[in-house]
Amino acid sequence: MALRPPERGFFSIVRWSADATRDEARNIAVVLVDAEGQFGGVKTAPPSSLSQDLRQQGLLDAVLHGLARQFEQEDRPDLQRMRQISAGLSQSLYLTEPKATAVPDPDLTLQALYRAYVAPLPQPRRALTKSVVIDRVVQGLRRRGFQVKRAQYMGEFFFDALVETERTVIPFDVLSFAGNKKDWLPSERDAGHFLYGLERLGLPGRAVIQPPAAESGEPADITWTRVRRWFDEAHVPVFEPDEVADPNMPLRLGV
Amino acid sequence: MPIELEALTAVDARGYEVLDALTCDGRRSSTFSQTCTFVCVDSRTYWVKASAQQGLVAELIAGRLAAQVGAGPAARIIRVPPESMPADGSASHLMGLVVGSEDERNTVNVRDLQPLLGSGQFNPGLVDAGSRALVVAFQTWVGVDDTQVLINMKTGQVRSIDHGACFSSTGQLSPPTVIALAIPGVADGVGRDQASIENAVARIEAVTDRHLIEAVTRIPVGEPWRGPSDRRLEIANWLTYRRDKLREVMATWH
Repeated sequence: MALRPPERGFFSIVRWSADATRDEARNIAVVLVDAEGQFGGVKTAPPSSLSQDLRQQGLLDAVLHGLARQFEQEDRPDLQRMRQISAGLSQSLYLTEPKATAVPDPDLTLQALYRAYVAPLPQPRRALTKSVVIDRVVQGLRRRGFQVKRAQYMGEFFFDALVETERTVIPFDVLSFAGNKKDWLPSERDAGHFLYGLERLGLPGRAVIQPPAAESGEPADITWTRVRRWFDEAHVPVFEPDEVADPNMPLRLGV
Repeated sequence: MPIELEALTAVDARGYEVLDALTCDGRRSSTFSQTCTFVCVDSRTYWVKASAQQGLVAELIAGRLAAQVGAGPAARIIRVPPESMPADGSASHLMGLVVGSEDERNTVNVRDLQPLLGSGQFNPGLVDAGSRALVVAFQTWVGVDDTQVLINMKTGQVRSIDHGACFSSTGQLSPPTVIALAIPGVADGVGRDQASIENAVARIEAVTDRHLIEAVTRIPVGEPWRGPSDRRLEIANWLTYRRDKLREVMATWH
């Protein structure tokens, strides 16, 4: 895999510890810069792989997405800026001291460093849990250019995602029936809470539902059918995860 | 029939493939070669060395063969550019076109096992008989001098590493003698059963002359490599001869 002569870059690993009093930090993202801000980027682990807690996932997503957005601006972060960020973060979230790296190609280098230092260990088959589906939904919406906040409160109601448009905010509910759980009641409560929140806030909403898989069983089918009926009756459009990422699928979010 | 020089030259003409190192990962060994880990553009980590007792050619050829038969980590030609160097100059000796052996997680060198055995962190019962037999057969075949072996602490797999001292006397065709490194706490009989030995020998016998030609070709030139074509041809024919004697020799270990 011989590439063109490399440039010199610098990278830091973003580390996070759920409990700052314990030495159990884990690598959650890699940041690549050069000395002059000519190239660089951030690659982050999916929030669903970082925490079981939806609120923590939202917090980490906000921080990491904010960092990534800095690289979309004309004034990209450079080595000095990375050192400033590193100095400004401590406790539960911090950056390692920047290290030199050859950069034969920025995207390839970022990908390689991510896989070497951050990527979750490969698993035989990753279950399509609610959190994993939220990863896909948030990523798909952002790729389509929407401003998305993950796992946030609005007023007194907690939503899986909030899409901010010029005119309003549209809450998203994300459900997955692809597992083989025995008890699907939490999904019914989740949907009920979402619909109640929409009604109280007077907002339009969208639901994204991963349908039952072959192994899900009849109880999943029953609950899936039930919550879809609730969403239909409440005039909440329902999509499948792949549809959200499809640029040709109209989501009618008013953008 | 011995392998001919023309066969090597034809494959050499295809040129060699190089893997670019990105950054020094920082783990070091205090061995002859002062190796250090580098993350490369394929996202894997390699133990990189720029010198070896019998030239980098020995490390690369034996590493390629180890990976082929499943006895050890893969070896690659690695380009370590100045941009990948740590600022303190501690890895400067590794810059250039060098050889890298893929890092394997959860492994410990047998030389470092004794304290882990004493503290109960190493369970000798975990050691896999089949992979031990394979490593014994492989190291016997290539005639390792500075015998080194890794143990995977999770799976018990035995792995052959550090082949830089191989091929020191390939001028004379000599039948192999069994090289079986003792593993602290592990009974000497582990891997000496008929089935394990048969499987190990069969894997090495499955290495064809064509495979050997591939293993000894497409290698950089220059002093640290010490791999002129006549030496590589000699290594290939030496390995051919010993491969065909291996079954008989390994039977004496049973």
